[in-house]
Amino acid sequence: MLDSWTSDAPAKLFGVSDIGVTPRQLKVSRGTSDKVFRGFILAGALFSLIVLALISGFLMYRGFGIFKDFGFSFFTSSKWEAAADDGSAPAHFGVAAMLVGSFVVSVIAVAIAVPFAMAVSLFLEYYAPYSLRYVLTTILDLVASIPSVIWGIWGYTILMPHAVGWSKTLNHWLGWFPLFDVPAPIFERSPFIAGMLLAMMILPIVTSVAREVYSQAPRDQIDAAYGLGSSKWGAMRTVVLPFGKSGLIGGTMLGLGRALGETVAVYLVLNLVFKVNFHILASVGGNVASLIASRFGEASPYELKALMAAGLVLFFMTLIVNFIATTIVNRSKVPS
Amino acid sequence: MTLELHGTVQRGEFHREVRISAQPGEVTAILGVNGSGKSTVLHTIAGLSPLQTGLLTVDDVTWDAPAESRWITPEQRHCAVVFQDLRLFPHLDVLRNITFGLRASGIRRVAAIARAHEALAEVGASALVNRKPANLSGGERQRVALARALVMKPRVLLLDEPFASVDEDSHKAFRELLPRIVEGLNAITLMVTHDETDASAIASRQVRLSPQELP
Amino acid sequence: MRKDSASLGLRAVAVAAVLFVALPLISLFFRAPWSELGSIASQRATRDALFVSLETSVIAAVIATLFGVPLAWFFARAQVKGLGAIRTICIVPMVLPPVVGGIALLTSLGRRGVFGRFLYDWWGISLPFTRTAIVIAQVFVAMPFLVIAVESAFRQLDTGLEDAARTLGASPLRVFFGVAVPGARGAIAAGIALAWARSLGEFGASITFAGSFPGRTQTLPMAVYELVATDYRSSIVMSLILVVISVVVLGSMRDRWITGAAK
Repeated sequence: MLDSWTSDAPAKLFGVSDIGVTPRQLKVSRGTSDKVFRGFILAGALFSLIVLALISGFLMYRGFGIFKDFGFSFFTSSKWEAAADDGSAPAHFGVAAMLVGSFVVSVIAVAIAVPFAMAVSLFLEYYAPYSLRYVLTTILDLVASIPSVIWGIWGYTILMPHAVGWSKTLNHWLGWFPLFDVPAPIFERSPFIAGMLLAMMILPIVTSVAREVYSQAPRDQIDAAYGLGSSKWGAMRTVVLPFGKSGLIGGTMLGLGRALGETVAVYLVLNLVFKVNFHILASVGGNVASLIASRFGEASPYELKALMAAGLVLFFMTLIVNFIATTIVNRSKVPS
Repeated sequence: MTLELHGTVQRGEFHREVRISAQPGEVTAILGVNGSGKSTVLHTIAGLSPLQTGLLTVDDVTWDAPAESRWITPEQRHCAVVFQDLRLFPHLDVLRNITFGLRASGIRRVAAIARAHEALAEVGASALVNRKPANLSGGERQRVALARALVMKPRVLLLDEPFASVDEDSHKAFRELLPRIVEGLNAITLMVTHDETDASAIASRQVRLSPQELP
Repeated sequence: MRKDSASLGLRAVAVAAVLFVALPLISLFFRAPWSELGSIASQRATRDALFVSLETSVIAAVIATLFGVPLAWFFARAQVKGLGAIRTICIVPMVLPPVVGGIALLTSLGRRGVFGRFLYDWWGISLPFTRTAIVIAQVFVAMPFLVIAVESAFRQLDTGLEDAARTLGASPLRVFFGVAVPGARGAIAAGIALAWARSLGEFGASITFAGSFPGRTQTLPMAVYELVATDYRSSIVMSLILVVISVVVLGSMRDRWITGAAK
């Protein structure tokens, strides 16, 4: 398995199947130390495999009971109530508000982060002098590694007081539009603030994907655009941006995936309310991941199952979003 | 007591028929233009790419026989290669480059170092012991690569364009050095080259590979 | 090429955006109660959390390295059917919400979990709410980052060197340690730093799988989170410690990485 001689064989062989040659299966006897080494590698691979299998397996195993009990209403209902202790009211669990909330917050984050990521990556790839590029990419890399709880603290203590003022202004001028309307004049812990915080958190990853894609824009076409008298910005607009479009979409999806799964930062700056809400400035929101984190500690065994079902939903959501993202990014990398 | 190779060699999409036999103590030159599969033949003997059909035996031991599903790993073949691009380990100094194979074969450090010094002396590179490959000239690197192969005292010595990266002076020196070394080693030596003069100066036998006919 | 206003605009936006996302770092320094820094930092709660964090994250980084580097080589070199699928599966924790991972770890390895039940019944091992649980959660979250970084370095290595080593009699084990690992040492160091930083900042998976018990399983991020409402100053100081540690380590790593590549 570890023999490197066929490292490039399969891809090439695939196209010449008419010759009728395939690599031989080589049977080899090995020494003890190599067997140990192989065992070690396999253990590493198996560890990850088992853990992942465990995750999906147990989430499904525990979660499906909930799907069976509540059926489709698990997705359409917003009620999240444990059974009353005296048995007077049965438990009811539904994640609609949290699902909608996750998407509202994430979409806000992406809408804010992507234009900035485009500007930053274009600048870094085509405009910045070396020293500035080095400084800015270093900052971005460091920012990417800041634990999310730090973002949460910062968002809660520093961003929010300012953002409340911005929210009021937005509401004052644009309040006639339902999106910016609020049922009550409370502006703290809104989806808008959570989205802004998430936007900052996902900026580094979206930027790094966009940079990679932009850097692969065909040099000759850019030169051709200059040759035709285009300004630098003209070349960006006509060559680099169209070329990098699908890569940017992929990067956006990656950012979206990360935003969907964010827990602690969102929890600190978003008021978790079990109600579907599209008024982004209102202090009402939700997010599946923070629902799990917040309820987990005190949950009854039955509620725990419901939280696992919610985790399962989140798991598949991020899996799908990331699958789409990597597919798009990979496709955009194929040399034309 | 010889090397016998016949069958189909293949690397990537490239494949061709070959038939070669070689004797110990003499140099067999493998001649042919670029793309005739000379290097692939060496890789097959070294075990870096397996035979598709046919048989490879050395001293009546089967190294590669697809029909019997027999294949000896490169590390188990008593065979050393001087690659065309040399492939010295960039992170090791000259001495450690040369002791690498000995240590891998379980020879103790002190003995390995002693043999490495002998081999370096033999190729006239004793002064280079503590240098890194990056700080060597083309000719010096060539000598080190040769010493790295020689020190293994291989049964089969494979040289891939051994004059490719050396200047005119070293080229001449190498032409005189090589036959002497090979004689002392009594190994089955195969030398790939595209240069007729080198081949006739050093090799006692020649195998000519025609340009590959596409299927 | 003409200088145009778009260039200036782009520069302004880009620099502003990067500085803006760097704000949390900067503002933490301004908000920190510098006069009380020493006393808060030497508080028992802070020291405990710091110790738990350092201990678990270092162990997690070591485990991630021991398994992750060979695994990365396997992904870079192996020719096995279904390798792509295995690889994807190993990478999934990278995109998985950590809190989901934590729940799954708890339900599978917990005392009543399907695997954890046997651990407990047969050997009396109970993983949840221990430091071991934190380490498991951190390895789970951080290892994919190391694997990805190291794998791409292995892919860029010249396989010719590995072939040469094999013709010299080196077993796969020796090829790995003697040629591949030294060749990728810069990326391996960077991968370790990355994995370690991830482990240090890990929150979601650890808190669900290991809980947040001060002095036992409460790591720095958990302490920051728990204290923000009650003891805001301590929380800021701990954030500062967390940020300084990761910035210093990653920053120094990055420099070495770049100068190493430029040679």
